[in-house]
Amino acid sequence: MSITRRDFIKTQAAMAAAVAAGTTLSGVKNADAAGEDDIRWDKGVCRFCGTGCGVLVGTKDGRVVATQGDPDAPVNKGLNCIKGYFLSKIMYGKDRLTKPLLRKRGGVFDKEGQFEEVSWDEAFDVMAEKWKAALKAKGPTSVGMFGSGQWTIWEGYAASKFIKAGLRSNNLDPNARHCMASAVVAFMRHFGIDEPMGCYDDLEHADAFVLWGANMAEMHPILWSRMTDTRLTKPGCEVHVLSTYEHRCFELSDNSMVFTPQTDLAILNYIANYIIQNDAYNKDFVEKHVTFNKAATDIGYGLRPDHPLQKAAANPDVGKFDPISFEEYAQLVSEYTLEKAAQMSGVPADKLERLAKVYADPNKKVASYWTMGFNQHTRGVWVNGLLYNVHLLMGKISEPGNSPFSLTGQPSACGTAREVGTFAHRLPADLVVMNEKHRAFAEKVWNLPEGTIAEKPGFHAVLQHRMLKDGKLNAYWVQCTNNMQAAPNMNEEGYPGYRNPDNFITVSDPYPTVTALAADLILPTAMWMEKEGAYGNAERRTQFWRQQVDAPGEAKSDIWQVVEFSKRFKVEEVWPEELLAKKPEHRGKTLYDVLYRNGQVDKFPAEDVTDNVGNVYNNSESKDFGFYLQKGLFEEYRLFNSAAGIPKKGHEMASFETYHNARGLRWPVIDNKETLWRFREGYDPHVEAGSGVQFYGKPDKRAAIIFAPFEPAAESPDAEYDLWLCTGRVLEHWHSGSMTRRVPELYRAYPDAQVFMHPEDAKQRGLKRGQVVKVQTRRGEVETRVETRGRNKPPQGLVFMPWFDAGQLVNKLTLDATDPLSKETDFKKCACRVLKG
Amino acid sequence: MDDTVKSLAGSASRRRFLAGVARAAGAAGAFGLVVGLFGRQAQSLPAVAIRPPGALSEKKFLSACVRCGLCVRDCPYPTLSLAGVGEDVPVGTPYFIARRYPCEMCDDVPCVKACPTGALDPELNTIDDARMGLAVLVDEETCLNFLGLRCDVCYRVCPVIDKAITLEMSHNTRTRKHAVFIPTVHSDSCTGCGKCERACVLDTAAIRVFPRHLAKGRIGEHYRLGWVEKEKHGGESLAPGMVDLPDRLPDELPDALKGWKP
Amino acid sequence: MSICGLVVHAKPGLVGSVQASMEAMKGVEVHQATGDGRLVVTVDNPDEYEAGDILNSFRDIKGVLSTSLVYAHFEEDYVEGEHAS
Repeated sequence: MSITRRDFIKTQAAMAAAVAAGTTLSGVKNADAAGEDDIRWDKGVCRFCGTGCGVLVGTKDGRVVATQGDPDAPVNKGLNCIKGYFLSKIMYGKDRLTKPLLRKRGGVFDKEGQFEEVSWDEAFDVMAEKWKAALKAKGPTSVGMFGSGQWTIWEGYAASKFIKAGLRSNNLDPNARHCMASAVVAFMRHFGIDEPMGCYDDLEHADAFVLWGANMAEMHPILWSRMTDTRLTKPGCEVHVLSTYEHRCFELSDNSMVFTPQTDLAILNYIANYIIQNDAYNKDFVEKHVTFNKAATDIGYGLRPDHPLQKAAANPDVGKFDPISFEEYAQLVSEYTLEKAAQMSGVPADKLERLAKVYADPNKKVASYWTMGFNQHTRGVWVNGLLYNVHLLMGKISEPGNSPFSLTGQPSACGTAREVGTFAHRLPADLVVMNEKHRAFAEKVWNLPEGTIAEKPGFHAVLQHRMLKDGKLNAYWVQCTNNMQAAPNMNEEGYPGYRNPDNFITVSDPYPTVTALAADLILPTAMWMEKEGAYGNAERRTQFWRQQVDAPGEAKSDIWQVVEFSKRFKVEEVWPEELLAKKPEHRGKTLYDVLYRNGQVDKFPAEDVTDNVGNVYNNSESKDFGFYLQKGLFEEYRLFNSAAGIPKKGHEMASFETYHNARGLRWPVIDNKETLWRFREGYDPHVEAGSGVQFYGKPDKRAAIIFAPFEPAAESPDAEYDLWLCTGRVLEHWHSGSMTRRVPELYRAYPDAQVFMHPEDAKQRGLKRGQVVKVQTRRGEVETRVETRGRNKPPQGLVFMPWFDAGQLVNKLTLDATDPLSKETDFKKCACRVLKG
Repeated sequence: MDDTVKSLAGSASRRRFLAGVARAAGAAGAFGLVVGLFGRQAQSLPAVAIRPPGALSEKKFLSACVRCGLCVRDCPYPTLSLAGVGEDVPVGTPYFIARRYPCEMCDDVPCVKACPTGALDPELNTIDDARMGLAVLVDEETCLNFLGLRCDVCYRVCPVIDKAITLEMSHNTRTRKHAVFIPTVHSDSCTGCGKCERACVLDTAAIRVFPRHLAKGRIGEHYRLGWVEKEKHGGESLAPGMVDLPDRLPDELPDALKGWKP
Repeated sequence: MSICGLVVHAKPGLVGSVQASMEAMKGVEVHQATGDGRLVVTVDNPDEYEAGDILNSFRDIKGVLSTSLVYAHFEEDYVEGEHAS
């Protein structure tokens, strides 16, 4: 208990006594006021999930001492979940890193040495030497970076520019690859433009909700609260829940369906079939706004090329789809009868039919939500797409309440990872490196010689670990994510990759995470309110905050680290002569000069950052670089949405200043108005008058319905490994727990991971609740305790284990099979067995 | 709307303050008693000390327990301890404090099996039948879920989730678009294991486990719940054979009465 | 932890010496003393037994007529043994 609280209680005690004595106390201020008087409050956004709850951050004496849900924030109206309640504590874990740490022996860097404190200069000297050596020996593909959907928008943008333009490597990928990549690819295939068409207001407008592989009750607690309210207050409202095990959403569910893993593919095709068989589809909409297509099949599992499953595939990694007629489409889905879907999925037929009827009812507005159950799926792109097929057949899209909606898990998976181009194949604003025009446009905006950006996509997340292990990726930088705990198959890929003697691994983090401790160099990093930032949430809402406090010790923000490190590279060291010859004015300059002192990024001088009541805020980067770095980066990024001749419209943003004065705006922001529903006339200014609906991301302005069949999972239970293993999260902890496990109260609320198991499965194995067990897969083993009660109730044959616990690394078990199209890992399905510990 | 919210908030905090003073004033009367108790060795169990599963009623338990400590030895967790000299709990008897370490509800109930005297009832074979205490949500003013936040940690840690604790959902009248999830304890299923109290994230727990005699109210014998009695009676009225005369209504009901039932 | 707020009534002429005696005791603070013999006192002590002893001993101070407990705050100080790894 803190001294201040003790004093507070004492003051109350004295005041109560004084009241009883009929006297007044001199020199004692009102206790309530004394506690709050000198706290400075400013708007911010929650550090955790993609919901994007608005918070107010209270600062006193250079420390964040309190937070509150912002009562005027439209998303959460003053509410928070239990993680948000503890936001003020996440920056103050006892083991915050405050100095760079380098593995050393005998005073010099040694891969096998112990971590020793070094100066930033020494850290960057050693790092630059390693990066330059790799570039010299093997070229740009030997360097790379792993970033984050928790980066601020400008951090992602600065990194993208540094790696893709500066070092000419496309080996930049974000942790959003593990989380959103399947949704992204599906958006591009079906609509030609990324991110949801609807927004959170659908939570109030829909008549029926369907959850497909989303445990919203725990993972998006505030959105769940909104959905619950609609269910409670709107007559006739229904909630349908599909999952491979029973979780907290089933509590509210009107139609609960536990299905056999992977059979969501069959269920969705059945629904499309039902709609067509019953002649319920929206003929006018289908005729005007949709094309029919068929996906290439038997596409493999994104494993290493020599893996037997990969060799057996007819069309490994092929994402092609070909046009077909409506009749052909109807024929293809006709195979998925109710009987077949029920038999494959194990869901009773009446429940499936009830679900199909909700979609097929023209008078019911349906919102579908999904998260990792869909995305972390070896057919994740397909399954996203099959749901779009259903919504498109009915025309239930892009209007209030009719909304297929992909929820995001990270605070800026949309704003940063997706929008500013941190994926290995992407450039800012939905542009891609494979497209010559897109590259040329980016080079023009950035004032770089033509041909700077490489054409070939870089290594995606899972491939980065394979390439590290194989010694092809040698200089590697991880920022703002704990990938050694997250990425699949740690034993066989991730850890050997980091510890490969050919490689030099740098990890930037506020805390000594599993990833940091596996690195060669750890850079202490400013977090959340220790820097000026911006996040973009799942409903396209961009939210800014000011720097509230300074980072401890020598910790520096990710953006500072990237920009400062760029000073170490002379253009001549990283670009060939023919490139320099095209822009001779860049000769002799550093990457810092070319990328960040280019007249655009350094356009705005350092200024006092103030709020509307005149409080002045620090900006550490302005101080160090002498210009308003965040503003310059954001305004340059806006050129991708506003410059003449932009290749793709639809991502328009408001000005930097506007966001500092708003509680968050949903893009496209055009004529000072937000866009709530895209592609629909009246709501979206990009839709031409009189057309009603236009999917303008596609050249023909039509959305694609793409048929894809059921194909089995990469690994299914067999005699040896007889259970499905599904991994995921819990409400109390966020992702790998590197922040929430440092909050004592959250730690106490859910201290250690467990394996959730059906009581019968436990009994058959002679296991008692609470007993120590070994969970084994073909890749590794984890010791945990068995839980047969509690929040998650798996069916027989499946176990669930959360991954927040650094003491029980579940990713030793998971398989690095990915969706071949999105390259996103299937963390929800592999085969395991559970034995006595 | 905003003004209403503000003034409500203002009056709420004032109400809290006045309540604090009133509590304090009430305590003044009990002062002599409190001080008197401080001096004596405790005779009755303090409210925070919970007996192991299957413990007989306190008086019987104290006479049956031989202070052997076997239940503590066989507890696989650090839950149970023996009271030492100077503690509020009678010396040598087993107890646990939920906030410190709750009962993990082992399926095989090893503490009961270890008891040589029956102070822990040997008939208790199923841990769900244990009634060590009863969880009570003691402070609705600080419980985060009552305030509309999404904590419900107590609910999710409950080993008898959805039976011993449920979330009762209602409309949040302040935000108008969220729900409120009220954790509600059901005494017919709560074992009193204390996991909820342990996990409560507040500085001081808003949900606590008390010995059942402190936690449970009782409706007077003179009153019965009509709907419960009717259900017990097989859905039949306890006063059968009544007639009701039909209501006179127009042939075609007006819109306002459509769907209406008398 | 326990923090109590009390009103102590003392003989008006002995308020000064009562205040001095009380302030000499560990954890005791006198916030206000009026000429007519009323003292506003808090007792802050981590151990409730000891707090009881202190309250008892107030009666032994010369000049104290009565003590009334007005505000009591008890809180268990549990120590966080565990650590986030």
